Amino acid sequence: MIRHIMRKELLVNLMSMRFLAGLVVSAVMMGIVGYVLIEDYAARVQKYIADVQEHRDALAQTKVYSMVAVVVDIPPSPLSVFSRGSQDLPTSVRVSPYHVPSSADEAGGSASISLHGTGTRPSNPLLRMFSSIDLTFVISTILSLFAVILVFDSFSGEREQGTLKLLLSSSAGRVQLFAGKFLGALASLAIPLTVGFLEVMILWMIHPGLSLDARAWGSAGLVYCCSLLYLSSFLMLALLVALYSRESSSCLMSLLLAWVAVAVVIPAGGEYLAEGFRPAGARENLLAEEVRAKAEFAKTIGGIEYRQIGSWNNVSTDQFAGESFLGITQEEARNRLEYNQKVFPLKFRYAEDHFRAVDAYGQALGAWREVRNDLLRPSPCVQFGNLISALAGTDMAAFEDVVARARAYRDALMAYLQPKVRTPEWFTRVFEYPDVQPTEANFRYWQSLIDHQGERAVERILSWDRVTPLDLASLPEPAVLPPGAGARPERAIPDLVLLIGSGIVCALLGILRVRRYPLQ
Amino acid sequence: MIQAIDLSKRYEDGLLALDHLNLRITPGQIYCLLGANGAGKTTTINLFFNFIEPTSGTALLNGKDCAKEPLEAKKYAAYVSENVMLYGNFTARQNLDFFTRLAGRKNLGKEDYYMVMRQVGLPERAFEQRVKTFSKGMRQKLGIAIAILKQAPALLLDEPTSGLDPKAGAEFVDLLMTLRGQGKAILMSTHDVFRAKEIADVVGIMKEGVLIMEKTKEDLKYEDLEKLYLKYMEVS
Repeated sequence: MIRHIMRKELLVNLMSMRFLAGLVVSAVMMGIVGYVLIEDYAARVQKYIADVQEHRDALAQTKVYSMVAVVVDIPPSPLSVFSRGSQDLPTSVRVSPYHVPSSADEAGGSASISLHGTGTRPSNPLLRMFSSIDLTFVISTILSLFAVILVFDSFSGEREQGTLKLLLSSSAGRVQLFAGKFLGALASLAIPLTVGFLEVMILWMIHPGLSLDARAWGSAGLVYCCSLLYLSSFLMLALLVALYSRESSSCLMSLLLAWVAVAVVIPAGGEYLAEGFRPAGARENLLAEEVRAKAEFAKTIGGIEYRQIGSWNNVSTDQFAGESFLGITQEEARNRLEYNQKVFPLKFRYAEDHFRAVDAYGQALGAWREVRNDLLRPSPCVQFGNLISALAGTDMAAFEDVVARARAYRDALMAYLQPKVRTPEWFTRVFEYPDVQPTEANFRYWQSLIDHQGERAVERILSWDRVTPLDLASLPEPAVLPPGAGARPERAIPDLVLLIGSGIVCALLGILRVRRYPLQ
Repeated sequence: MIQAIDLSKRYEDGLLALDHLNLRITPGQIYCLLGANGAGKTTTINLFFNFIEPTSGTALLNGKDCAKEPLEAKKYAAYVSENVMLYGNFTARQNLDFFTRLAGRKNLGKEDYYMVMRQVGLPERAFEQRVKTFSKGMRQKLGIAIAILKQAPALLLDEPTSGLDPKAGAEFVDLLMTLRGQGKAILMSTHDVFRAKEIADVVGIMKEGVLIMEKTKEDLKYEDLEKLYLKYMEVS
């Protein structure tokens, strides 16, 4: 019985102009957005490959251990084609003895994410919504609007045209009618959804810079299933509203209002409201505290007595990071080595203290983001967006995962580097290249070189370029990859449960209502 | 068999649309319910199909309580409304196919549908035509075809001939006679006194929800039904 009603609904929809119009609009939108995002993904993949190479080369050129810094590049998620997620997230994480990775302390993010954020996130929540047009956005807004247009007259239309009584005079029950109408509308909506997905997958397959493996197909299949689930939930809501309307025109108005509420008002209004819960002044306080702590640390360092017994030149020092001395006497280098035993543990501790302060701010930001999510969550569009970005690994939690792994990696890095603080290679290579020492004998030699070959000859001797890079073969490898689709399913659970739960609640209310739906 | 036992319906606005209706229609009998607009004729038919729930009393189709076992009860009855409306973008055959499947009948072929459409007098050219191009008479005939294909022993018709031209009306009546001959129990609400007298085995007159008169064909043999109807309508 349900099958026959479903088939009839599908055929009626397929023969209607509104279906054709909706199919064309969604196919065009998904095609264009899919094309743009695939191009964007391909460009990000290329940039990622270039960044990895650049950072690897830079690390391979490290001349002293105090300057070892690893940049962990985050590969773009293939599913970012479907969900761009938190698009202002940083694309890399720095790991060094002087920097403990924290999700709130990575460069490139917006102020909503990072302490020193520089992202250009629009302050207007509406702009923020529309600036992140991706396939999730198209499905959650365009296809949900299509759902509204498909089902607004499901009951009132049949009643007005007089077919509802004839339908119910058969052996079909009201609940069967409700179920059949739901499944018919879902089957109708599955057509533009499938067409859109096929468009994207074909564009993906034919893109010269990208390949589509079994995992990507599987992930896209998972996103497709979640999209169907979202559309089911939205259809249930639309059918419920349709059951409470006696006339098609009033039903269309009610449904459009409901659509505007869930697609625009709740997400944008939630963003506005969330601004009121932002940790007030915490960022400014932390930035001020950072300046004060830096000054205090400089004072502490300055208080450590250092008796220079030799001389140096061609020095690279950074009060808060590593340092490298090439033009230094071996005697002074040994003297500096002792000083380093006192200074660098303080620098490491400063990095850890700084991390704790920033992390506390990060947790406050995290709590604020939770409040913001809770304010936005009543909207099925937001639930769907969260679900897909969690699966795609483009959400904040995925970035926090990467940062947490990078932090764990730093522990391994420190275990490797800390013993090196006691070696000259921590800051100089003068013992391997004695001709760089600013000694009387060398001064005379350099002068003779200047006289015969010019200043460039001495510059070449005193240049770090001639120094062979450190052998970092035993440096721990940063195994810091973002979780793939389904790797952390628990992140998707709250929104998945809400989406399924709201669908079930709407279905139950719909079943109760359809039993009493007036046919007069 | 169609039976109403003390069947009453009071709407939410307080209007008593049907007041303790008792009637019984046996196989091979046509029962015509006469009455002005708002007399309760349509309410009666709506109660048999559980389109609305009774306030009290029982509507039975083949012994099944229409309120308690609506799906079971509806198996025994087919419905034709005053203005049969179908899916305009479907052809006549597609509409027949859909409603026949809903009635639980399977494995019917194109020819089976064509045969019934011929039986109800639809022109051949209309069989594969979209229903949105049909006249009211053609739609009524298609409604009867749906009812025939359901093969239900009872037929409930809500003013099925209103608005039909005389020829279409006469054809419709012929069809009903044929169905009666096949042993169907038929309940038909109508305003048409002459047609009721022509075909009814029993005529009931309703006024303000009450069945105020019920006479058999034999009772009416020597009475003028029109005068009788007008007399009952005038009585306050």
